[in-house]
Amino acid sequence: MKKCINRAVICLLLLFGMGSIVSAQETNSFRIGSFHSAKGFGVCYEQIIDEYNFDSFCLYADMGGVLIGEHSTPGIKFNYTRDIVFKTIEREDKTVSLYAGPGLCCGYISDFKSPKSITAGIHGTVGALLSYGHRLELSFNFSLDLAFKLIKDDRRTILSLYGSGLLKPLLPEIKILYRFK
Amino acid sequence: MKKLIISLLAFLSCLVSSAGQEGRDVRFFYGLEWGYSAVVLISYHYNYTDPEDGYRVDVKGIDPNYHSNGMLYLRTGLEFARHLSASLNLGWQGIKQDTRIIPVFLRECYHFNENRDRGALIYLSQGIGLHKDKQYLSFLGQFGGGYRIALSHKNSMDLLLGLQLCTDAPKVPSRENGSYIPNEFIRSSKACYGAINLGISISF
Repeated sequence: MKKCINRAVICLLLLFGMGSIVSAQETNSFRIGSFHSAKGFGVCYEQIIDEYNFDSFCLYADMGGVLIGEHSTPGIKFNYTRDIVFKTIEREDKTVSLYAGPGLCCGYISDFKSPKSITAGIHGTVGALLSYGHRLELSFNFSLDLAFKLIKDDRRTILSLYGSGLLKPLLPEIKILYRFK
Repeated sequence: MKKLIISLLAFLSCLVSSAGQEGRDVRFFYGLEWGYSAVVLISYHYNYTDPEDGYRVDVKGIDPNYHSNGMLYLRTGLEFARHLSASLNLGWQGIKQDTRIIPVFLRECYHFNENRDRGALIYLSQGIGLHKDKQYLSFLGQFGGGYRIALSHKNSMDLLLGLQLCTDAPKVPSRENGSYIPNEFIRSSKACYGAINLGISISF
């Protein structure tokens, strides 16, 4: 009797687990687009996991200091975030999905007037995705970096806070995306 | 400046009322434009007294000179007639190395599609540029074309390419030691920068 009950419980648990896997809205959809901001210009890729989650990867030329003449060459920066849609607003002509998410950032970038250095840390994003019912979508967001940079000072290597990451969140980012599938 | 703003508002209200009389759809829109401005040509005319020997120097020329700048505008306007729209633009823009202006200009657009929601367009802009660090008003003119992509019946995205001319009163470079002529020796300093603008505009 005990064996029967145990087998029944195991079967129920397996059925429940398989049901969960099947019912999850996994998609093969993804978005590719361009990244535009006063921080820099580049490309981005977003993997849509399900209706409420997507992974965002951005690689861009960091123009910090170049646009105001402090540096002559841009740096390079990579951001990754796992974005979660927390509210969806349906409008007459579009759907606005509000999202936020944590992630990571790294790059070889300058921090205000200091020369370029290797920088890495935590990255956070909050934004809105505008979907118009066709494949072209727009994303507006703000992001924050809590990162550290490696500075070489004579014979020492110093780890210092990346100040631009805390002051640049006010600069908006715009992504023009094309959704596949 | 006050007179210019009042004139622009009066012009826009006349357009609205005349469009109403003709029975056309008038639609208010607002948006954002950003892009890249490449200065390719500088035309200059400097007239100054040489601090070393006291002689008057008059220098004129047109030189190719490449420098990359960015631009960002906030726009608000009206689509007031078939094929036509006008907008008031305010923003921030670089016009030369170490020179940035706050442009305020009016842009008129002609859309080849009579619904103005998609397709090719051409534009003409004229206005002024305010300098933060000097008492000088630049004059700004743009001419170009583009293509409008309809995102929805209310929202659109324009891809724009155009030419720009902007005047300035720059510092006068000294011919000898690479520095600048002091302001008290300068009688006249005029320059005009020619640039190629590449921009993206989103309207709501």
